[in-house]
Amino acid sequence: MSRNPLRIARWVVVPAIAVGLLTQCKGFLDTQPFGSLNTATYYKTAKDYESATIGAYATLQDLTYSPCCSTILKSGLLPDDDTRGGGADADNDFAWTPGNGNLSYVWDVSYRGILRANLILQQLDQTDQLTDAEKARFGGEAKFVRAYFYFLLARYFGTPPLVTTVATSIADTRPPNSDPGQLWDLIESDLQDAVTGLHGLQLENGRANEWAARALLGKVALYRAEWGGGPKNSPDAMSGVLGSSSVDAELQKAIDNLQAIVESGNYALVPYQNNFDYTTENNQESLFEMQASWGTDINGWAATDENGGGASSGTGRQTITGACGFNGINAPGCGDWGYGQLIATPTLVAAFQKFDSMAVTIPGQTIEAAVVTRDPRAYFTFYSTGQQFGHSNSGSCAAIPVPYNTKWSCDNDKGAIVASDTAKWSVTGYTPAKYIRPFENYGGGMMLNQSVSQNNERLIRYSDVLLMLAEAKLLKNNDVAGAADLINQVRARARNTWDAAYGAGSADKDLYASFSKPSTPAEWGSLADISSSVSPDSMLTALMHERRVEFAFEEGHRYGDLVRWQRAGLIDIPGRISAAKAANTTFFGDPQADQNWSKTNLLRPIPGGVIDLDPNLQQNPGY
Amino acid sequence: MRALLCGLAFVPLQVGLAAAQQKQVSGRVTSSVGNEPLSGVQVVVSGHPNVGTQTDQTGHYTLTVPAGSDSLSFSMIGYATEVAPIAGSSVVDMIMTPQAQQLTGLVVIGYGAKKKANLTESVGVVNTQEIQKVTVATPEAAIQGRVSGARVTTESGIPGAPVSIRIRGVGTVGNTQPLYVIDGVPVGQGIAGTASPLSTISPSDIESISVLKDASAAAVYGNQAANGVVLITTKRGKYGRPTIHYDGYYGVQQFPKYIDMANAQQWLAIQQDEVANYNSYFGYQPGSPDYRVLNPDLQEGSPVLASLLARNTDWTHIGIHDNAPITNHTISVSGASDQVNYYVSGAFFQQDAITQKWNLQRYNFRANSDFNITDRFRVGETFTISNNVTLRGSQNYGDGTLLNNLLGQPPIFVAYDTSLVSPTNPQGLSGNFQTAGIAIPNLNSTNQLQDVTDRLTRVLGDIHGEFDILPGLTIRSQNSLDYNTADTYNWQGNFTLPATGYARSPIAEDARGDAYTVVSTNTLKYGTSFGNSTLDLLAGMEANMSRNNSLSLQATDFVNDLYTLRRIPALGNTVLKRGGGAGEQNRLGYIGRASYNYADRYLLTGSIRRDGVSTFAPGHQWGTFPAFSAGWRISNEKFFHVPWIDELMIRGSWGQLGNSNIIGGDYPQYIGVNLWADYEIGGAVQLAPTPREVLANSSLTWETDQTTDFGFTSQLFHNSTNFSATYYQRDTKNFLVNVPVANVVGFKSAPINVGHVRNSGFEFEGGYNTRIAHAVDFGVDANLTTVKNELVSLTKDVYEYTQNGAYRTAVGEPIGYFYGYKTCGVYQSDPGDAAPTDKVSNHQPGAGDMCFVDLQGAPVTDSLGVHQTPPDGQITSDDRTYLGKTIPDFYYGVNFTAGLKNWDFTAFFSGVQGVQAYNQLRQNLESMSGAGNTTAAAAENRWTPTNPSNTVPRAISGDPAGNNRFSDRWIEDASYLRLKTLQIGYTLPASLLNGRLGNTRIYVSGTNLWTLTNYKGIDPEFTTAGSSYGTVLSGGYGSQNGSQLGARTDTGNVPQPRMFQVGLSTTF
Repeated sequence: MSRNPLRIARWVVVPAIAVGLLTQCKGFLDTQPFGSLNTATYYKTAKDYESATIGAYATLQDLTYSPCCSTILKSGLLPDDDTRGGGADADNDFAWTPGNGNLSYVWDVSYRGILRANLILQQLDQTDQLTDAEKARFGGEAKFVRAYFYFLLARYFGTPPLVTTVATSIADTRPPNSDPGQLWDLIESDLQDAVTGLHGLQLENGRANEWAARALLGKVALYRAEWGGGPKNSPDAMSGVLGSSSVDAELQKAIDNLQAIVESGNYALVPYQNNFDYTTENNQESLFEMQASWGTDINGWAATDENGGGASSGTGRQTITGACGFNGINAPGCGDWGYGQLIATPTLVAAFQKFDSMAVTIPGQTIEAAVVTRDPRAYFTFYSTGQQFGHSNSGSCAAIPVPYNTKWSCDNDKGAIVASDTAKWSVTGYTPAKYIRPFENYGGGMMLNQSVSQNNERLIRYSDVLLMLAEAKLLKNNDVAGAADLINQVRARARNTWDAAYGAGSADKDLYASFSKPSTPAEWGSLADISSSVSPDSMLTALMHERRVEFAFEEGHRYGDLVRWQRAGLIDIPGRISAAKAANTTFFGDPQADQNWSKTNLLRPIPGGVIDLDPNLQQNPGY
Repeated sequence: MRALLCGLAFVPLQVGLAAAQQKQVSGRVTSSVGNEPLSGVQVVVSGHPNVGTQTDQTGHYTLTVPAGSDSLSFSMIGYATEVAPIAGSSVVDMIMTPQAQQLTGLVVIGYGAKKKANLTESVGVVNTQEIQKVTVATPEAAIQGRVSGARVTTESGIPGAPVSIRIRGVGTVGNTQPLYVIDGVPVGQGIAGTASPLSTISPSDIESISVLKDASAAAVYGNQAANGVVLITTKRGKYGRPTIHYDGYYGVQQFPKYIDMANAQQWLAIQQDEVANYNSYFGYQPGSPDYRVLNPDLQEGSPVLASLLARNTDWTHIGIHDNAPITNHTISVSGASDQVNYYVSGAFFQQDAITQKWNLQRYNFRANSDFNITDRFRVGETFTISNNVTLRGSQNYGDGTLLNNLLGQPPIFVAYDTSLVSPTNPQGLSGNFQTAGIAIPNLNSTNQLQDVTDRLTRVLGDIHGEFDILPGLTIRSQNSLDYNTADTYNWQGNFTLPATGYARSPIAEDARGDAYTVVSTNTLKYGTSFGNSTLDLLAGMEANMSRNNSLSLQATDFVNDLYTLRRIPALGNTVLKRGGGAGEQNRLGYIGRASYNYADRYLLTGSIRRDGVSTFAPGHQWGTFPAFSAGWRISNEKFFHVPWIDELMIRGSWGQLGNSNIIGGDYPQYIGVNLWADYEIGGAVQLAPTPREVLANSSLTWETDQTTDFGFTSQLFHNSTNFSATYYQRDTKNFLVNVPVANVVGFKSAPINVGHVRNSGFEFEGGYNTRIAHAVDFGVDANLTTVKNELVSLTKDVYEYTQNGAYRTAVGEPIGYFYGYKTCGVYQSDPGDAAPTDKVSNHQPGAGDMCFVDLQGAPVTDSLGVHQTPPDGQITSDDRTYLGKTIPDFYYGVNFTAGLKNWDFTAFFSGVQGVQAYNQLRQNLESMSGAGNTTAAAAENRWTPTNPSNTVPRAISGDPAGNNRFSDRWIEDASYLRLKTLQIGYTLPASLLNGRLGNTRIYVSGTNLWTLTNYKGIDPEFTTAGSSYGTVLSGGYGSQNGSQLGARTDTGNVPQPRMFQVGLSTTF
């Protein structure tokens, strides 16, 4: 065998090249995640946090989402004495089970929002590209969102787990129930930090500011005082809620923060109907709103988180309160998804006191007499017979303007809307109008058959601030005069809304032509100014009434109020149920709901799917 | 770039010259039985695998033999391979003996081939002759029932539907797909979410498929091989002049089984009962506000009732495409000379679905060639390009499955209404809007109105070179590119209330993306013999780099609805929805293997692979996976004298493999941020980046799959019979699962190393070939695999868990078993207090409601652990229990073949036993709580006071007592035995064609002709529901079939069609 130098060289050179190139492979695996944002590449700059906080706020839109039912609207609105659904309904009837999908949706969305806030707060600690002021501001916004959701969870579920850090191990995902005081402490300290961090900042609509934080803090403190038993030290108090605080301290905290908003002069009451009209969003009465928008196209089938395709597709909110199908019968014009699952109870209608009966005539048709109340807020709260409602889009009745009538039906042969004796889609004759009236105006030229709208959900209104302040003042030191002053501001505004409801400014002014505007306190009835010299109990009754008519059908207010007042010993729900039964009526607007309600229902069941996966979590008693 | 550099380290550069002196050899081959000429026998010059030919119709061959060749090898399936010396003669005749299975044939294994007789590893093989007999649309389907240990199931009967392959049970609940290696190039399991990685291959182009089942066989593929490896070798040219081969078939497909639904009268009776039972259940009286009434149109005396009932639409046949065509044509040219072999082919495949509006067309082109540059230097390439175009409607498009929806349509609804015909609705599709006040969307309408086009183009090519540095020492480098581009164009026309039953504005979305994977494999092989010993060594490295990008745009508001103008947004519509993404993954592996053979008696193989992957956190990227196997060919021992045993080998193996594949497990140490949400801030809609709801787990590490197996292979009774048996135990430790977590931290799931799963069982394979009455060749091959799947333990901090409300993972049970309530018949009278308090529905059962078993109370935990408690008089979630499992006890295949003169006959059965399915379709169709229709069986059988059924409850609006909750009512035995293929072929006599055509065979074939099952659904052969078919890019195809999560929930998938085909295969 010849010793060819080339051959020898190959034996040396080829492996040498190979080894040399192989060493270049070092680092081949050390790639950064490519083309994606994550905790290694995001949460660095102020611009990152500007957008990350939008992600946190966007969780609010998920709460109002659902193509049909699974929303806070249903689980938050239904179980009270203002609203009811059709027929047997678990939410309505307090037939709450751990398997209730609406409740677990609220749970999931809340912890989603908390994660988003927790992650922002954790990453803020690690970035060095922000000033202290920027950190305080973004931290304040995140803490506002976290407090909002923890407050929701505390009210619904009592002692849900308290999670303030981002889980890093499977063991972290099985926290036990929180200590109730601890939970409320965190909510309050988060809001206090938000007040500080957002102080003096003018942020865009949709972001929390100092006043939104103060309003929520005042509300939390008021709730905490009453959940803790209130001044009467009620036995229905939830033990531990007060922690190391006290009823007095909490009431004072509520007064301080709410008073600060009043004194700031930044907010005022606007015409009542502007609070539910999409053309007057983010007005001077609004402290905080869920921002809905039409974008290029609202997908009524998907929450913002499920849009799946980047910006600008709109973030609608659902309008399932529309008057439509009930007990299997769809009203014409209700389109496909207007379930009309929520209707107004007779007791709510009755709460708008000072009634007159009047005959209403619709050209070409005669419809039975309807009941109209002189509190103009009623007009903006629910529809009643004869009012302009919408257009039918059903068969031969398409495009015929439809007056509100619980028995309307489309006669396809005649191509006309007729009253049907068998059709029935509101058992009470009233369906919610908030956020829907004026019908043709609730978003993007929408028709009745649409289930989404671009109308913002007003989460904290100035009238709520006034009434909470009144409640805190009453409970703290029987400040009847202070309360009267605040309540009367709300009543005066309501009276000023007369023209828009029944007068020249109303779309139904012809219907109410014979209806005269009250001029004396007696004629205004419960809407007249309340005297500052009534007893504290009378003032409290007046306040409770005012909250009911002012906030009917607004997110979660009513049942939250009832539970809070029960816990503080201010009302007695079992007693009211018995009294209603004796009077052959119902308290919750449904015999099944009255029959099922017990003090177990002061809390809702923790979702069973969560307990399946977190064995350290205890179910609320009774479920 | 660095990847390529480090990949190309070994490219050989040496070029030499070959000197060749040749001579002609010819001869005739006959069968030992009947002395008949054998056509199609492969005649190859020993030591020159590319130099060979085939015998013609008369059994003759002629071959040009390189100088120095000393023998010829004769091989043909069904006959023992023979070797004959040339010994200077120019005529070599051969007589061949029929044999059940060739043990002398070569089997493709990782980075090489091995004599089958010397295989110490567990490898299943399917060859080209077998593939030809099954007329399959995809290569995976060719494996079904033919390889023990591999369970192959098509997700549904839709063309192009993904095929799932589970090798030796289910080791993980994440992605359980094996690694596919095509001609040495690993494809599939990449990060590109595309259709089956094998869609680029026409089945006619396949030479053989090897399924590497044990760790020893698969270990050389390291970290991607934990679920087994499927090696596919495509055809190369055979020695001889250019040969043109045509293969084609045409067939029709039929819907296999219709479910009888209630007629209009029965439907109305159920509606009436629903309302009446509802009112009586709650005690609502007429006049009470909650008293529920039927829609006026359905009440007695309604003027429209009679005409509605007269419609009595039979929805079972709507949406069906009967006699849907399927066709395939493949034409190839191949040949070889001393210096080069080549195989080029083109194929066209088209298939419609047996449901409406689904058409798949596929073009495949392939060029394979090898060049002998010198006698020591060889270069080869493969190049394929394929184009898949699917035109489809809205089927499975987010609104549930078409069949589920249509079967549930009330019989008073109609699918088409001539009064609705308009330019935008030429068919007169009806949404039955507000018919009798019922609002149920109609997916037949949306399916017809929606047009989705998927286009998928894939290019896969490699070039490889081999250089013999020294005798026995060969260096090989293979470098490949796998590039694919996908485009889904979705046009969703204006959904109007009259036509579809619900309204949606028109949307067009174009989503496209591309992905490529570059793989460089470089190996050094050394083989030597000394004395009776043979030693083979292999060392190498493999670098693998994948990238993908995607972009999507969505628009609404168009100039008009004309197909040609659909992409043109109307003036003023400037804002489009957009999305996109990108990803990458790098892998690096080092391979070592040594095989030792002493006198073909003692066989040993050891291998090791060290692997790294970029998507784990630093410190967790590398894993090392060793494997060993050994065999003892007892029949080669001198002392072994058992006349009826021709071959006997005892073999065993042990080895470990790694798996890094986990859904959502890329870069597990970071929390990803999604960009698909938006929200209005400051009056403008803005992007709202939100964290992905997956826990960041920086300690996530390799899943280790350890397999031990042992068994024997044998040839018996003068090679007429073969039998092999293997016991395997596959232990998957640290198995990777994206477990659901309690949503108290905002995360929905966490990728973790969750525990230890064991699959164990036996695999049997056997075959018998004989000739009956000197005329009929008869053969039978069968295989059977048993699986016992068990979760052995869970990692510390991980608890048993339930997910999707139906599946549970618990120690001592098979993973992902069905978990729900047990029923105890139907209450014949109101049980009152005798029934346990139902805390699940919160409503007590009445007469005609289901009885649920109060199994136990809430478990208590004390210092000794968790204890069961006796029944507590309540139905709660604690009363859920084991209801069934998704992994079968055993599965099997039996193939009968027979031949008589020019006729051949194949019947292939496959079956699965001991498996359950969740018949969600039936749950939907038998709920009897709403307006949807009910199966005829439930309609007739339902409980009424006069029909005391003990299996089907009463109809009641809204189902207050929860009769339809997830329970054993919906779990069914899904075992089946199916005649998969029945084929009769006829080979034309050479005389008939005057020798103008070569081997020409025509056949008729039937697929899925007969099924024996107790399953009440349409088809027991399905894997998984829920595959959304969203877009090719989003992983809509194949996104579910790789996963065991949600397996065997039947949502009304399109069944496997019954198919009849005629085909022709000819050479000229």
